[in-house]
Amino acid sequence: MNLIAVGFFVPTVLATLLITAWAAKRAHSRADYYSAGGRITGAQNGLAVAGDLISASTFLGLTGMFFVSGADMSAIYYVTPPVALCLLLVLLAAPLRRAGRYTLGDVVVSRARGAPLAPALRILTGASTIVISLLFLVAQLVGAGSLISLLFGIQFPAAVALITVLMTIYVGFGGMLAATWVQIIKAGMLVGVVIVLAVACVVKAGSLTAIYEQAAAVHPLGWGLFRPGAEKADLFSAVSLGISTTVGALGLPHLLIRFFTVPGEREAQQSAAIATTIMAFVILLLFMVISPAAVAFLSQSGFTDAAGGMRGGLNMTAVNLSQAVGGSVLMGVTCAIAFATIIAVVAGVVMAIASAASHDIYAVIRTQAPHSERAELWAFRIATILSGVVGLALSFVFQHENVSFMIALAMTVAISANVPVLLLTLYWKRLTAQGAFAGICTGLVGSVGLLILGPSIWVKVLGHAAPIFPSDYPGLLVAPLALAAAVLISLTGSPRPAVSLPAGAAE
Amino acid sequence: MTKFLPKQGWYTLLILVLYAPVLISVGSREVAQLWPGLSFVYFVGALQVLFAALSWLLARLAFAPADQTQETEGQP
Repeated sequence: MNLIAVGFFVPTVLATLLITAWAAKRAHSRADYYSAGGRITGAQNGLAVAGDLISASTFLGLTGMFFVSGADMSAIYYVTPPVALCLLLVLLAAPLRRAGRYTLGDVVVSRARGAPLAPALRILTGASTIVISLLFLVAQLVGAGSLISLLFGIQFPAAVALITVLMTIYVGFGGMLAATWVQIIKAGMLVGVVIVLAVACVVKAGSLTAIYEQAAAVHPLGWGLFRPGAEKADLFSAVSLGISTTVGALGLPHLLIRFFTVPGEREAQQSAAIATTIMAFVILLLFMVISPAAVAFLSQSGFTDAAGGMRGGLNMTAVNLSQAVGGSVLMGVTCAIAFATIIAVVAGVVMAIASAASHDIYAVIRTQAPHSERAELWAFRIATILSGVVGLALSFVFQHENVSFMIALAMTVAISANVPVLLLTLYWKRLTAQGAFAGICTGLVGSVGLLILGPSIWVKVLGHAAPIFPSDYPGLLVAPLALAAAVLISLTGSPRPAVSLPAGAAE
Repeated sequence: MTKFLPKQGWYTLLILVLYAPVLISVGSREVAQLWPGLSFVYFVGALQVLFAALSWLLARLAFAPADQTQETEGQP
């Protein structure tokens, strides 16, 4: 066990628990729990949104990817988040804030309020949110469990259980206020450590040019390290991956519900702009300084094993680099911040699951019987605990699955089930409740069904000889189908005038 | 112009057009030959700065509160 890492880890956890205690004292109403009372400023929310996108896979995973294959492919992952945030600013931030209050269900049913199908539509949107977020949660837990067992020398089940307990405490007691402030603090710490790491790399090498020259000298690809097309990507895969990760991000519930925590549309737009700037800055340092420096300093220097692989696995590339340029202290800080990154992201994802379960499903099912705000908040807390338990159990089941593939699954369902109906709800007057229902159904059933029939599940998990659907990434096929289904059913169904709602007045 | 395509549509196109060279370069060896080594890395870095600047411009100028009613016509 790395004692210096533990020395930084304990205060980090204590700080997040203090934030939760502070938030719990201020959280009384449904609005406090679901949307932090709408009192988060644009700048604070911008940091939180950036924190959601700078997950462990960005900070740790992409540095490892660059270490192996250079700029090729990793460039797409590095450019994707600012592009997604720019699109979010242009297409979603303000209208989303205007149409919704707590969950995506609020937004989707805003046009169908009063329609007989509205309750079913809200439940379906809640189910879609839970499926996407659960896939994302399990991927994060599996990655986090492996990483933390490496960082702190504990077993995988203990590592995952620790994260699950912490995220349940943050969300169950402090709601969105605690989840947001944990994310803000983590984002600030991560930006700080990335700056320190980048400066230390340049100082150690003497100049940025020296880093590039040294990296090209020691890597098998040579100067091809910095050239696209150097590895195995083909045009279709690159474009498909790029579009899926960009547009799919617009359908991730844990990202979108952050825009309900600000007071108005202006602040929602500020959030997206600030998040883009922070993301662009962090990615600039990761892509142009830290990743090439990892190649330069870690290749052939005792940080690689006999086969040339990274010590502790590729996810440890940034951590090993911090030790190479800053010694044990910088490594300890980096480990603690990597841990904070993981728990902050999973807390946001659990927030999305619990609010969908209590506000979109429980509240609608209990419509016939009288239910109070207090009862809905208890449902929220129970849903928080249940999502922790289910996430924990699924993380054991999928312990050996590829984390990137599981994230891609979440993105595939998001781009198929959420994005088409969300965009139509906000921009097409003639969308009906039936059309929205058909769109989400097509996207959800189509994407999950084709994923099951694809190579990774049908062949590798279920043991069949050949897949029925040839690809693991059906998003580009299902998303247009979901869009078409929503449009066709809306046009052919019984005409019903759209209901115009004032800001934040959705059910 | 806004009659042909709403302002959001033009901005979306602009963002995707800026993004397209990276998508095509990474996937196409022929296009990749046009980038001599490090210039691709600098190009990606410049894009990050461009997206940050673009988002600030959009947030401060293009979507000012007074403009929102017209821009979001047809929304719930």
